[in-house]
Amino acid sequence: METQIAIPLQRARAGAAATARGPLGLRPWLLVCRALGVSSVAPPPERVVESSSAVGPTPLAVNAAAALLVAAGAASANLAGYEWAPALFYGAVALLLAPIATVLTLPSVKRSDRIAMVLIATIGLYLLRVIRGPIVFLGHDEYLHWVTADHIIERGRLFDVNVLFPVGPSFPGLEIATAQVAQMSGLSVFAASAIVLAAARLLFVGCLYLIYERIAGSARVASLGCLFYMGCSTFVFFDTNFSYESLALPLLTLALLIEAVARDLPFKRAVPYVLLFALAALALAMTHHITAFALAAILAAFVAVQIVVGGVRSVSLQLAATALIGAVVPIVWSRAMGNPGEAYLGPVFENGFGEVMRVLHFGSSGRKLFTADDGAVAPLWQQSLLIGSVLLTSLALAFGFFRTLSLARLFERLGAAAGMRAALARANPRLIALTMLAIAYPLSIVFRLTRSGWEIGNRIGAFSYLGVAIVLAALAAGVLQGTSPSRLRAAAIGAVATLLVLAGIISSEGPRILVPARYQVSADAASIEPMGIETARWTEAWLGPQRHFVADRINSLLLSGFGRQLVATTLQQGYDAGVVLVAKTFGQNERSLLEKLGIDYLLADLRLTTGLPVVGSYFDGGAADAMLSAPPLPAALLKFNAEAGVSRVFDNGYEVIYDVRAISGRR
Amino acid sequence: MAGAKTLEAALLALAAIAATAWASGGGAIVRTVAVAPLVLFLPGALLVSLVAPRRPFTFEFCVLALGASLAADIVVGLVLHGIGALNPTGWGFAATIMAAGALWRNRRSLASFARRGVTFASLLTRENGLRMAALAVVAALVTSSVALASYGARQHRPFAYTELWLQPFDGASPQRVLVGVRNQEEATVRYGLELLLNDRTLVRWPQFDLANGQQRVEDVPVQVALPPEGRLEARLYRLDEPNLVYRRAWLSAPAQGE
Repeated sequence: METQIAIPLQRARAGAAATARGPLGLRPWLLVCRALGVSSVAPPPERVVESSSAVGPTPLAVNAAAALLVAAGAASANLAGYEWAPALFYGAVALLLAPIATVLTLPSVKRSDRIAMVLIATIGLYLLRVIRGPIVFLGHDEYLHWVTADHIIERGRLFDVNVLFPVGPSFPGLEIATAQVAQMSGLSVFAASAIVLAAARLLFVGCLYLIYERIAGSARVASLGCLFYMGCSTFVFFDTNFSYESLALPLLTLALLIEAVARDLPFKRAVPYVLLFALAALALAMTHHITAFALAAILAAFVAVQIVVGGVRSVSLQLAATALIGAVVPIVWSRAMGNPGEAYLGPVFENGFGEVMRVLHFGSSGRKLFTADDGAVAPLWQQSLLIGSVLLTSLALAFGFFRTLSLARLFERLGAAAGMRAALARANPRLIALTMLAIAYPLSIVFRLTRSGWEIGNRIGAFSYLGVAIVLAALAAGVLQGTSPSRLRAAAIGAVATLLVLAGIISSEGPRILVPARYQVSADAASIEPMGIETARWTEAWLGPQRHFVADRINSLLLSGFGRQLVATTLQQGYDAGVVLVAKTFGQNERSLLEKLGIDYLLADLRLTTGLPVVGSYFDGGAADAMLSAPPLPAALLKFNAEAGVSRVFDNGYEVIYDVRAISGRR
Repeated sequence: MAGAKTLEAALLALAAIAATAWASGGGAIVRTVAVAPLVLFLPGALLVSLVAPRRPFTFEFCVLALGASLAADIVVGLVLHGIGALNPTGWGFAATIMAAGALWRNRRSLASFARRGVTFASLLTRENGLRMAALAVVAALVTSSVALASYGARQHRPFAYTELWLQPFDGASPQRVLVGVRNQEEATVRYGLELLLNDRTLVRWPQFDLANGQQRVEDVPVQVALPPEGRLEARLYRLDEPNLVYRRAWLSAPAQGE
């Protein structure tokens, strides 16, 4: 594979010189390309040496493991309240990645060593997630999926209602795989999910490497592409959450890899691969709606570029078949499930696009950058690194975009061939399509500037980085390092790549990279602590499971996960029962709501009165949150003390559970 | 050829052992080690070897096998749901069939791979020894990292507190009640507890100690019927502040007319 683009430097230079000749001495478009960084129209010369690499993967594995120990020390130190711990944690990430990035940049590294190093980096970064949350789920969405997995295990069937996450059971791929491991091994859902997610992570990076290698024809570009992808804000933590994207993205890359393998075969031999593709597409459609449609869009882009560069007849049957399957399967699955994604995603996209338009017309100031909803501001070094990384990535994209197109042989052929049509026909349409995908990166940044569009931007990032990563890799391998054996230059490029990964983590987690010592109000990882968990477990032990509860955002998660209770949610019931808790008085409206929703118990968490919610809402962002411009009053949460017929069955000084069955008519 | 036959037999035996390990009720770690290839590799290996019969064991084969396994697991889960067998037995049958098929399908590749490959003599090289030692160091460091992080997380308790609860014994009428106290104050605490009916003391436990993590549950018969809007209340005191009610819980009778 490595020898495919191993063009001697002299030949590349001669080719460049030849293409430069013309009526004016230089072709005008070539001048533009050169100005944009396409210094040679040939693909990046790659010195392929099958001798031992300068540094093998073994010492890098030891280094990565040592870095993980430092990271674990930092995580524990942070829980003990040491303020320097997050910086040490980021330092450990740099220690883990920088040597690998440096070696991957060097030209004379064996393919097998590159693969080993990429996998070491992948496993190392995955273990950061384990170190960060080693005993319980920390992410909001993880609890939503845990409930679905629990239902599958307990009830032995799919598609049961999940009140926390009504759309979730329609896409149970991740939960099925986790339930299988849990049921066959006897592990908890938490431990089983760690195994499934580790496998998914390895699958994702393995597929990404092989796709890039097939498309770019270079092990170096492929390994650097994987490295740069790790700079995507979703890579290290968001897409390792127990959440459907974490398995969907690897399945998407699996489908793309199968398509890439099938592409090089005669159709008859490609048919079994098309069937394997259909299996992957079905599994993806069963796992996540948006990612399944993203696969369809990427394949459509492949077809479109193929048509542009080679005409309709150049589209192979296997590409047409995979594109068709990729489009039809998610539509059929969504229809079969009753199109649950429409109601769920519609408002998200509507609000997101609306706010982006307002920001673009200066009608809204968008999000306050680097500032959480509780007013906490990211440290200056993090702000600087983040801004620097966006600027650097944008700059690199501006230059690398054309460089990658030249790697796709587009410019080379345009320069050398007599006619544009013939030139285009020999271009690499998949690389061109992926390079075009990089254009979505600036779009994702714009979305991230807005409050309601942030989530869209975050998700776009995971797809746009498929293009961004290969563009950056082509730039690093082809222009910045080239064939130079200079370790200093490689170290500089490796350092930049490491900083981009750190910036991606900061962009995702910011100052909350580690679980803090101090409890914070409605802050997901910083709010999930043993007392709340024990209270949820108490409810299952003493009240029994499947009771109807009203609670705030965090306690709803804990009650559902650890207590196996049914919590009232606006998504499921259409009413925000949280208003009963935060209303200053307990009047007829509140009574009616309890009756209508058939509530058994209320959980009042007095810690909500101590601060603003870090994630922006105390409940699920509905009517109850609209009533609160300041923390709720303790008197409001405890107003049930004076109500006849309401029992106060549990009190730990911070949390109180009220039995309201006499009022709601449930007793 | 005899070696190949032996290997095939050994692999099939291994598959049988792996398949039965999960069913044997053994420890979770043993079962996990047995289950991992059954779930995450062998189903996909079967599919990939069916798609590409002559594909050797390469990095690409392994990646495709891992991915196809996950995809197959999901689709098999849907099928098991359809036939009402989405349970450990159903998973076990499906995984065993796919694993046996994968091993049988790849028996020749595996045999030639093994024949070409590894003997004890070839393992005992200096390079391999160093590599093994490095891997042992890596395993030790990674295990230590996760253990250190887990220890830190388990020790982290931002709140010290005491739970008090009161429950009807039968879950409905308060003729007998359970009153419970659990100490999570990170130290032994001396408590006093009383049970009152409409502010009149029914029972008192003037003094008892609970160590951190310890709980005490009392089953109390309540002979007096709870009047409408009456309240049966438990009050907990810490004896270092005996005049302050530390925790309160109560059961209320429904208001009249409810």
